[in-house]
Amino acid sequence: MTAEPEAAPETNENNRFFRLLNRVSDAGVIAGGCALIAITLIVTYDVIARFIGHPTIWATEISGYLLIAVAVLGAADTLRRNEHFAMTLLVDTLRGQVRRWVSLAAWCVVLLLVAGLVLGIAALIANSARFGLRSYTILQVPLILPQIVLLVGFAILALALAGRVIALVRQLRTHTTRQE
Amino acid sequence: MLALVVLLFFFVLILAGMPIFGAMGTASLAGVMLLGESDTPLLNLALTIYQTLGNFLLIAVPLYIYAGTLMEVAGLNEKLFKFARVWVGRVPGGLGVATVVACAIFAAICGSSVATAVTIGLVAFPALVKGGYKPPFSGALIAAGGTLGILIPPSIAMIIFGVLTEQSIAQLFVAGALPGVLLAALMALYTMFFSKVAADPEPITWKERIAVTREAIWVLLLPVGVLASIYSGLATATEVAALAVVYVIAVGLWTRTLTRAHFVDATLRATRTSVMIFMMIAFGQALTEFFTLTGLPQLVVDLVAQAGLGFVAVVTLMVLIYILLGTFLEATSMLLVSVPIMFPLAKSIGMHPLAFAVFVVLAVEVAQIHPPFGINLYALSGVGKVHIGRMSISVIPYVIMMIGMMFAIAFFPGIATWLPGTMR
Amino acid sequence: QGKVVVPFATWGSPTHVNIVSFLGALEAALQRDAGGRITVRHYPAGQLAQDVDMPIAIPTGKVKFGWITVLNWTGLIRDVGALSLPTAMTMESGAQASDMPGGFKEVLDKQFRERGATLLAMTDIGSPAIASSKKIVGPDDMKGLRVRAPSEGLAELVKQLGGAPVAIPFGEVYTALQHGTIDAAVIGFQGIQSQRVYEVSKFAIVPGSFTGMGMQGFAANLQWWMGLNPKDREIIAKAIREAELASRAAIIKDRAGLADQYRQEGMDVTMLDSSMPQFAAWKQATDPLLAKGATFSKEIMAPILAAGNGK
Ligand code: NA
Ligand code: NA
Repeated sequence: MTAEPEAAPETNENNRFFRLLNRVSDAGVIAGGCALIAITLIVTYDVIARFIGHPTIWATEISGYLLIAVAVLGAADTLRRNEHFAMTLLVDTLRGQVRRWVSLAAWCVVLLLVAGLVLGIAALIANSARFGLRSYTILQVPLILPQIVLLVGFAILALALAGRVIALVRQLRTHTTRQE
Repeated sequence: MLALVVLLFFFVLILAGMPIFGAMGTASLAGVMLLGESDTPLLNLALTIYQTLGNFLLIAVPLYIYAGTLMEVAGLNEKLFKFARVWVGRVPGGLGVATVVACAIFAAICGSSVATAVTIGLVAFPALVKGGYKPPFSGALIAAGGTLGILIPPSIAMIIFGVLTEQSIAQLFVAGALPGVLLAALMALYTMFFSKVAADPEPITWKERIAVTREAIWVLLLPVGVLASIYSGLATATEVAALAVVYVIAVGLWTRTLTRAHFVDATLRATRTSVMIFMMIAFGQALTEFFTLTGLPQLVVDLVAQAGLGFVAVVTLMVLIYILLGTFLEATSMLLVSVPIMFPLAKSIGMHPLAFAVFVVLAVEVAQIHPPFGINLYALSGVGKVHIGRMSISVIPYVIMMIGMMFAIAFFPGIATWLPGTMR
Repeated sequence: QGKVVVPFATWGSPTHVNIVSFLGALEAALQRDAGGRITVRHYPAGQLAQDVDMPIAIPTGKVKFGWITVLNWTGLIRDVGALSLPTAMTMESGAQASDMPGGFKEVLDKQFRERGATLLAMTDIGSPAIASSKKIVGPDDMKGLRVRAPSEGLAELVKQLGGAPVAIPFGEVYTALQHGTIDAAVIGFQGIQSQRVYEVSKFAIVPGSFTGMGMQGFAANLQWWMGLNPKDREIIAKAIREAELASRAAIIKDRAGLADQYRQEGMDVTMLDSSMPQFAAWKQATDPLLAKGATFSKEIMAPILAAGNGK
């Protein structure tokens, strides 16, 4: 059990899919970082504006949407750096090949979960689009906008998880061949 | 019954090394499907995650993490630690005491417990180990000291409690101050007597003390600024986190300790840490909703309420329930699942809302340092490369301290209510 | 016949008079008519969904039956915005306008049904109050104040009266008033009690229905509702109607008690009514907003204009 990032299996991979994945993950975390900076500025602006007697009515709502960007767009990059919390105390005690199988199974399940979630978010967006759902505030923001950000974040994560599964399968194969 | 099966399944997934957010999501989705009350479980999961992440009050979470990361890259945490060191380093276990003091001061800036543990840990941990403290002891000390982040105001946990119970967040903040200082004092005393390490060997002159304090003045002004902003009405408890970020950037630029590269690095790191925490919050909420749907938490509370037990027994049971919850939920989920049903129970046995708030925050603190999901332990094992198993043993005395404080608050609510009372 | 559970989701404080009175009457009626076969399971305090989430959670079926702030559905159903128009309606005439044939419960339910939900009951928790640090009696007193406004319509009202609307979450109103972050807050009359606003602001006014109606609704997922056994549905609908009436009565009683309580706490409480000289000024100052109601459907405006102008 350690948060010390062990090298992710996909870091050894180098082909078109993984190059694209890296680029998309980078773009995601940078967009998330920009959203974090934007939240800081917006909230600060709101405080100052209210102090001088001209409060905004949009700051709270917009920062709420940006929060979604901060929370999900960097998910793939966080995965690539193995920074999501996991408890590997028990798995670490397993023998090499057994351990690889267990890991593969675990990450396949996470991939399925996130892929399913992407479908769920797509259904949510379809529902919001059908009714033209908007926020109830003055801004009347179409709610598909923040929902699309959510979709993008988890879609990138699904892609990264697929990469993780591919890398694990290859690792498993390499070691099987070596044993033979 | 189904709830217990799903709980077991959840633990199996965790032990298989699945990331915690994945285990929470998988267990909750499987549970909801087995429950069979929903025709669209995937859509429901999506909606839960969308609802959770869109909550404006959680904006304070990434902002506090951002402020902590910026302070670290600008070297402000080092200045803070040095300040604590020159003033209290000459007592037995002085470095350890200095760490607690640095945590307490940082807690008055930052509302997050992980951010506090990591920010102080990055400077304090190497210093402690170099000073002869065992790594697990040092890690446990910082992990526990970090939990002060949510007891000493400002506090994300108090913000969430305030929203759930419609209590004044400012009053809740004040309520946590005295218990926070008391807990810090307990931790310092424990370190003095049990670290088995003598005082900081480096002699310190008054001249040095004044020089270091002058160096640290920008950090020391920050807690004052944070509290002044909230209590003067300049900013709300949530907004003040953004002001802290801007302040740290300004100080970093002014003292020329924050470069462009630092800034970019801190921004991306804070983003990733936020992602990691938000994933747990969002999927934790999904798991929480599943348990809510099974009616298990309500059932437990009803049983306790109807058993006609006395005050002592109910408080003890509440402590036990919270320790249990803390073994499988992360902080926000713990608050979301427990507060709506425990708050009425606490009221029914005559507990003051502010005292109950402190009681719950202490329970969350315990959860953040006790295995298997003590998030601060993970964070510290990342900072110091300490084995989590050994740190889990060293952390036991702090768990006992916090549980002791929970009972103390229940029996002497004045510890929590006195300070807010004087402010009317 | 099998057991039926009605999952009922609410948010905010579980002790809100609207929740307590409705739930109590609903459970009693079901117990009487179905003898324990049909029960309610309450998910309080936003455990399943918060107020703002209901417009998605109910139509998608995540929440089967939930307590809603009708006004918060403007993003889905534009016409609900008409309920925030400033009118001279009283709580009694509002209840009439809601229930009568062609009343707004009927009109809105038709629109709810087009979006996968059904509006089963409406209770007015009363017009929001304005709590303030400076005495407000006439509409002119709002000029230049920073005022917390919880919805689009109320922000429009604050602007119309020359104030600056501020968006501040319910939980932060106390602190914001205490420290002068804002000068006044439009807040539900019950909110003054639950947030102990009387500790931090000296004045409160309930300006008739010029701050709009405080319409809360009880809405169900349409598919779930229609999927119930018709006999059961009839029993539940009857129980809901009883709960609606019981809750309305409880709210009116509660408001009178609250006003007394706030005064005892030292608050200067003004309940604007048509006998007061400022009434006409409020009407005149807010009429331009009512005129904007032309953008809402004729069906929804008919009962509002009938009840609002009549008395
Ligand atoms: Na804090
Ligand atoms: Na825990």
